[in-house]
Order: sequence, then structure tokens, then C-alpha cells
Amino acid sequence: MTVFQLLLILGVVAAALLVVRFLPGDRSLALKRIFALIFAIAAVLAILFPNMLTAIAQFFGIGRGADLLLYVFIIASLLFSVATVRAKARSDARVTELARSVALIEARLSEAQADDPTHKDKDEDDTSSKRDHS
Amino acid sequence: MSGMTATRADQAAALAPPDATRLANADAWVVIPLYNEAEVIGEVIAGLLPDFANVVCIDDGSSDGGGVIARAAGASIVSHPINLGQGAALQTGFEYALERGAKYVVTFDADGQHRVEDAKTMVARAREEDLAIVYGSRFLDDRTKPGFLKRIVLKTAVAVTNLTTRTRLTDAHNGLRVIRNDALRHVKLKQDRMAHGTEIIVQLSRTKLPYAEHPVEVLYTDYSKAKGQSLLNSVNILIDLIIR
Repeated sequence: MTVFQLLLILGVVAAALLVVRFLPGDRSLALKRIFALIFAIAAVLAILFPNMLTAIAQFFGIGRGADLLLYVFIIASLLFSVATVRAKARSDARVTELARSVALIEARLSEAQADDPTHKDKDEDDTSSKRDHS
Repeated sequence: MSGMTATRADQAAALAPPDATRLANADAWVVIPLYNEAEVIGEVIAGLLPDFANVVCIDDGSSDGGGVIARAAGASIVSHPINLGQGAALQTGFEYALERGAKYVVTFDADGQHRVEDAKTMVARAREEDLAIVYGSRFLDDRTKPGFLKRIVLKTAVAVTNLTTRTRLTDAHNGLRVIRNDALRHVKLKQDRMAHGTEIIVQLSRTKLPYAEHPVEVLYTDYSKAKGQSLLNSVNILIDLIIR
């Protein structure tokens, strides 16, 4: 095994570990972890047996293993981008719901305070027996 | 209202309507999305209050203190903790108004482009003709004069909207609308930014409730023209609608 191969394997294993530990989600999480594992194993195999990649590529009619890798990588990249954009859109929607909730709660609160005739000034001495914090 | 001779009776009549309208519109709420319009929002609200007792401004994270001015002018205020966009502000306003028992909600711009007169007539028309929705339109008559480019963009927006909804409107992105509570309950705007104009028409058209278009005049003052929705934004709107 060359030094380069060793470094690549270490890199793949590290990336797989990161993915397995820090990816959010529930059901999709299991799937993502399985894929990460499969990918890690395939990557290690491809690094140890570079000719294997070339053999697979030629099976598909592509010249070199590196080319196959590139194509697969491009597609994976595009899928990732789309998934990320959609995830951000969902996340933004949740933030909006949250911000709206806060705004409406605050409005209700300040209107309730304005309506309550015994509650004139927040800084007033808090000993009044009529004070009603409903 | 021009050409009226000021007889005693006319003068008395001129004094009476504001209060009567205000009372008649006790079940109506004006919803104004507010983002950095401190300069004119005071005037806008002062112009509405004689005819509409219930005005709520949704302060969408303004940084110019417009919210305080609006409250001082007599409007209710709901403040978004962060800037979300005009669509989000409208949705917040809808929920606020429905919570307070609104029967009619009037969406009204904060920059002084809309006329209170038009809002009044549209609400009255909704009551008279039992309409669930009244859309304001700049293109039913010739009073409004948008620029040439703007005209093209607006007409394109109309064409796209008409293709995707069952409605046949002449002005798809007019901020002046009257929506009755039964129709409003079916509206849940998810488009936070400017694509809400089309989204609201789509959702309202699904209710199949009676609607009408009413001619309105939009005042392109120097102030509002300087701030107006840039034409580039139209690109954003189109894309927002496609990539939901």
C-alpha cells in the first residue's frame, strides 16, 4: 500500500464517521448512514484496487476509472445541492412560523396589559393588592 | 366629489359620513405590512382612521422606528422579531385580524400609494354585492399611469397568474384587496417575500367564493417611485413561484 492510498483511506473513514455522527433527521438518518457505510467500503476498495474501478468503468463503456468517479461525483453533487436548497426552504418556513408566533404572543400580551386598568406602569411598586397577573 | 356646491345641507352631510363609515366598518380590519416607511406611515394611518377604526400595522423588522410612529398615530402594532418579508407580514396580519373577529380584511400598502377612498368603496361593494373578495385593479380604467416597462412586467405577471389560477384578473400584483373572513380562513401564505401576490390569488381562487375586480387609482408619488419594487424583483418572484 502506498502512502497516498493510506491517506485517502483515512480521509474516507474520517468523512464517513463525521457523516454518521452529525447528520440530523430520523428515518432518513438510518438510510444516510447505510449509504455512508457502503460508500466508505466502496471507496476503500477502490483505493486498494484501482484497477477494479477501471474494470467497472469499461463495463459501462467509459474509458477510465477516474472518469467514472467524476461522473458519479457530479451527480451526487447535484443531488446534494437540490436536497440542501429544499432543506433550507423548509428551515426558513419553520423560522417564519416561530417569528410569527412570537410577534402575535407579544401583541396579545401588550394589549392585555394596556387593557388592564390596574396595571399602569411596570416600574411601579409591586405592593398593590389589586395587581392581577392573569 | 368635485363640482359639489357647498350648500348648508351638503356641509352637514359632509360632516356626518366619516363617523357613520367608521361605525359601519367596525367589523373591518385594515392590515398594513410595514417595512421602513417611517416618513409616510403616520400620514397613511391618519388618513385611514376616520373611516376605519381597526388598523393594524405589521412591523416587519423596520430599522427606522416606523413601528413607534404607527402606534402613536393610532394603529395596533404587531412586530416581527426579524425581517420576514411582505407575504409573511400579511399572513401575520390575517391571523391577527381573524383572532379579533374581523369580517372584512383590507390589505393596504404603507407607502401611500393606495387611496382610502378606494378601500372604502371596495368594502362597501363587498357588503352590497355579498362578495368574498374584491381585488383592486389599476387597469380597469386609465387613471393610473405606470411606466412603460413596469406596465409590461405587470401584464406578464397577470398572464402568468391567469394561466395558473381559475381567475381572469387584469391586475395580479395589486396590494389593495378586500377579503371576507370565510375566504381568508383558506389563506395560508407560505411565500414570505414578493411571490405572495400570486399565491394569495391561487388560494382564494380555490375557495370558489364570489369575487370582483374594482378600479383603483395607485398614486405613484416621488417617494414611492424611489422605493418601488424594482423590476429585477420580478425575476425573483417568478423563480420563487417555480422552486417552491
